[in-house]
Amino acid sequence: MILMYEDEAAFIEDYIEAIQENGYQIEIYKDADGFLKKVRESYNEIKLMIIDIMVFGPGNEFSGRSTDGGMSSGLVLIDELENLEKEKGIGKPIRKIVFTNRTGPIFEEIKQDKRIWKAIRKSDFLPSEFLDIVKEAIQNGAI
Amino acid sequence: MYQKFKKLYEKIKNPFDLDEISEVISEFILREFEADGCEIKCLGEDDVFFRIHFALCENGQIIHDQEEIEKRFGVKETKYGRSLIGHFIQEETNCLWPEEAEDFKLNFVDWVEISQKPIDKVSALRYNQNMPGGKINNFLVLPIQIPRSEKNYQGYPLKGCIHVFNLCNGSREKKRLESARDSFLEIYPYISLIVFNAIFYNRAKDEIDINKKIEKITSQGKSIQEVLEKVVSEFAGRLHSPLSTVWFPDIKNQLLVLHSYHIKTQFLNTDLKIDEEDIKEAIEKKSPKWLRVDDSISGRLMTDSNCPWIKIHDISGEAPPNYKWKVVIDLIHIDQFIALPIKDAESIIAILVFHPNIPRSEFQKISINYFKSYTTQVATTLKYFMERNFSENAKQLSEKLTQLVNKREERFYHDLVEVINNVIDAEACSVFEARGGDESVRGIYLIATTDKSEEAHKKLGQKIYEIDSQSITGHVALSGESIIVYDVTQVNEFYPAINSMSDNFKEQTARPHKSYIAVPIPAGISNYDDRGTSVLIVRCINKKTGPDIILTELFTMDDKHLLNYVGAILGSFRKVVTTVYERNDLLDLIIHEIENPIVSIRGTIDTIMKKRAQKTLTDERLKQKLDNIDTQSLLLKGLMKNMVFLNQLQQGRKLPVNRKNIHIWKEIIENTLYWMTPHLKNYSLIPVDIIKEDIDPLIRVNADADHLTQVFYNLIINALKYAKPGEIPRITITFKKRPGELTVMVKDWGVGIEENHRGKIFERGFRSQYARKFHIKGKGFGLWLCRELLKYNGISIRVARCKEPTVFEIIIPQKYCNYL
Repeated sequence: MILMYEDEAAFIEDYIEAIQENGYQIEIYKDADGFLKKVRESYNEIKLMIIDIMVFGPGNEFSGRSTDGGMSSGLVLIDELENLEKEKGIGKPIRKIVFTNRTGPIFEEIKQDKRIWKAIRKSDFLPSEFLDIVKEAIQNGAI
Repeated sequence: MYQKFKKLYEKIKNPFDLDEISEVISEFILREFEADGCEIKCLGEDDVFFRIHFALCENGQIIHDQEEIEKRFGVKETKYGRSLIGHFIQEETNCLWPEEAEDFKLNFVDWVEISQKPIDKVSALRYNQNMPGGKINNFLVLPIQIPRSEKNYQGYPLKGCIHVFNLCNGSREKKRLESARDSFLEIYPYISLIVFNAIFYNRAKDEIDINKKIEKITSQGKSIQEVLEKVVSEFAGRLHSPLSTVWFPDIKNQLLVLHSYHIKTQFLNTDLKIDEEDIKEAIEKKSPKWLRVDDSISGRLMTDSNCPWIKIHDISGEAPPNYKWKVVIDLIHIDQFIALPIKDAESIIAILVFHPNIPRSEFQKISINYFKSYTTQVATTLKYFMERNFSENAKQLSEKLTQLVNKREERFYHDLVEVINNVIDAEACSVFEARGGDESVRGIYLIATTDKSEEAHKKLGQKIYEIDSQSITGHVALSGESIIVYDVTQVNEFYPAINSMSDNFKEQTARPHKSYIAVPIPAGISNYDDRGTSVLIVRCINKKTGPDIILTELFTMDDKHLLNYVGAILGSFRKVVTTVYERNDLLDLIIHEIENPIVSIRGTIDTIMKKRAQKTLTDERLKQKLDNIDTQSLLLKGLMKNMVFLNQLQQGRKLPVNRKNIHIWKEIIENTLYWMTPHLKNYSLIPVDIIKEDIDPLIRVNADADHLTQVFYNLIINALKYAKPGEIPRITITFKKRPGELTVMVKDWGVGIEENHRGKIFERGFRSQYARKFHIKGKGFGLWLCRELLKYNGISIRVARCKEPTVFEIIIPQKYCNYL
C-alpha cells in the first residue's frame, strides 16, 4: 500500500490514476491525523509514502505546531514519522518521496535531507515518469 | 499685521495649492507694504532662472556670459551660489536686508565673493534687469523655513524663498522702511510655514504605499538612530505636518515644553533644548509658555497609562475634562494633532501638529490608516533608543539587532534567537509569540541553540508545551508586565500567579527550561491585536550550569527594565520584517497555486497520449480528460485575474469597470462553479450539491462580469477552506429582493467567523485565529479583494451572520438590477 499526504489530489488525478492502473493500492490523506493514524495502525502494510510539503487544512495533530502556516506541513510530518519509526525501533524506514510544488532554498534543503528517499517537483515529472520512480522505490525499497 | 494676515489666510481655499497661496500672499504684501513686487518661489537646484541674477560689470558694460565670468575669475558654477536667492539657499541665511542698492558702489568685479561673505559686505550686486518693478532700491529675501535638517523630504532638494522688493514704493526714508520691515517680519514665519506646508504636501501625496516607505527607510538606515530619524521625518511628510516633532523632555513628570513655545523656537531658528534654568525662570514668572504636565494633552499622555493616544480634530472646540489645550495653542495654523505616549517612558512624548485646512476626512484617513500601524513602532523604537543607561548587554544587543534587521535575511527569527543567545550567554532560548487568555496558547516558532549538534537540537526543540491561560504567557499578556522567572518550579515572590499554575504545567515547563523571561510585545505590532497582547518569551539555559539553570547569574531584576526595551525593539522591527516576508510568502503561495493546474494539465495530456498509443482511450474517457483540461485552464485564468486585480489595487490604481447586463446565475455563478471543479473535487464536493434557493431565473445585474466572477470564486473557495474538518462542505446561494436592492446571500456551514472579527475580516491581510491555528491556506487577501471589487461596482458586502450558517450578503442597489 502507498500512503499519500496531499490536500489537493484533484490536481494530480492523472498521477494517482497511473499508479492505480499499475496495480498499486494508494490511499490519500489530506490531513496529518488520518495519515498518522494509518501509519500507526498498519505500518507493516505500507510500502511507500508520497508526501507533499505545502499542505493546508485542519489536522489536529499539527494544530499549534509551526508549519509556516501550512507552507511546510510535510516537513513536520517527516519529523513525526522519524520519531514514530525510532520509537518502533525500525532499522530501515519506509521510503519517502517528497512530491511538491515548493521551490527555492527550502526545496534545496529537502533534497539534502537524508530521511527523504527522493524529492521531486511536481511540474518536472509527467505521470508516466512519476510512475517509474514509484516503481523503483517499491522494488528496491525496504519491504 | 498678524491679525490682518490671519484673516487673509482663512480665505485661502486650498492650502496645498502653491499658486493660490502665492497669489493671495503676494497681493497682500503688495498692498500692505506698498511693495513693487513680491514673489514666492519653490525651487530646485536646477532652477536656471535663479542663476542669472548676477552679472559682471566692467567699464559700464554688463557681462552675462557665464563662461566669460568663470574664465576671468577662475570660478566654477556652484549649485546655488550664483544668485541672490541661491545664496540664501546655500547659506541658510535667515533674512537678507541689504542697504539700498544705490549705496553700493556697483563694482561688479567682486561678485564672486557673494557666496562667502555676509550679504551686507557684498559690494557688487545687480539685480536682473528683467525683474518686474524696474529699479530696485531695497529688497528682502527670506528663505522658506524648513523645520527639519537639510535632508528634508526623502533627501529631495526642496527649497523655497520669498523675495519682496521695493518696499514702501522704493522709498528711501529709513524710518518708514524699517517699520515696514518689522511688520513684514512679524508675519514672515507664517508665510514660511504655509508655503512649506504646501510644498511638503505636494511632495508627500505622491507617495502612497506606506509599507514600501517604511521598508525603504529601514533598509537605508545604518543605525537605529538613523532609522528613527527617517521614520519620524516620514511621519511629518505623511501627516502634512510642518511641525511634527518628538519631544524628549528630560524632566520627568514635571514640566513640558509647550507647543507654542516650540513653534516659536522653530521660527527663531534655534534648537529646541530644554534648559533647566529656563524652566525655573518660567515657573517663577508663571510664564504661559510652561504648563504643569498633567494639565496638558501631553501631560495626560505621559501620566495616564490607559490613554493610547489622543486625536483631536478641532482644538478650538470644547475641551474634554482633564484637558486644557486652549492655553497651549493659539496659533492659527494648528488645530489638529495627534499625540502619543511612549509606553513606560514618562519622559518621552511624541507630538505631531497638523495643518488645519486639511479636510477632516483626509485627516481621519491619515490618522487611522497610518497611525494604527506605525505609532507603536515609532514609539517603542524611540523609547528603546532614548534609554541612555543601557547595560553592556543591551548595547551589544541593540547593535546586533540592528545588523540583523538591516540584513533582513530569510531566517530572521532563527538569527534573532542566536543573537539573544550569544548576548545573554544562554545555551538555548526561543522567541515565540503567544497570546494570553487563550485556552491553548502554543506554538514555539523557533528554537535555536548555540550547540549545533543534532542531539542538542532534539533535546531542546522537539517538545511542544501546552500553555494554558494561567501560564506565564497569559500572565504577561494580561498584565502587560514583563516577567523574569528564575525557576518556575519554585515559589515566586514577584509573580504569585505563577505559583498557582498547575503542577502539570510546571513539570512540562521546567524540563529542560526552568528560567523564563517573558516580555510583552506592544499592541499595534502584534498579529494578535484583536485580543490581548502578544508575548515574547526567552527561555534560558545557562551554558555552564546546564539544565538546572540559575538565571540570577544572567539577569537581575533590574534587567527587567532592559528586557522591556528588547521586547519593544523586537516588536517594532518585527512588523517591518514580517511585511517583507509576507510578500515573499505570497509569491510562494502564488507559484504553488499556478503550478497546480499546470501540473494537472500536463499530466492529463500525458495520460491521453499514453492511452492513445496503447489504444485504450475510450471516447467517454477522452471527454472527461478534456473537461479536466478545460476547467484547469479556466482555473488558471481565474488565478491570473485575481493577481491582476490584486496588483492593480495594491499599486493604488483604479480598476476600470466594464458594466454589462449579466445573468447573474447563469453567467456568473454557474460559470464560476464550472471552472472551480478541481477545487470542489478536492473537497469531495460536486457543483450540483450547491443548493440554489429561490433563484429568480430572470434576475440580471448591471456590473463587471469579471469582478463578480472573482467575488464568487473567492467566497466559494473560502467556504471550502473553512468547512468543518471531516465534513463535506455545504454551500447555498440565495437571492432575495428587498425594497431598493437585491441581496445575494452566500451561506455555508463551516467553522464560522468570530463575532468580534465581523468588521475585520474584510481588512487586507487579516487572518483569523482558526486560520492560523489550522494552517488554512491563504494570506488574507480574498475577502479584501471581494470588498474592493464590489466597491468599484457600487455594490456592498457584509457578514450578515457569523455562524451556523455563516452568511455573506452582497447587496446590489436596485439601479444596477434588472428584474425583467
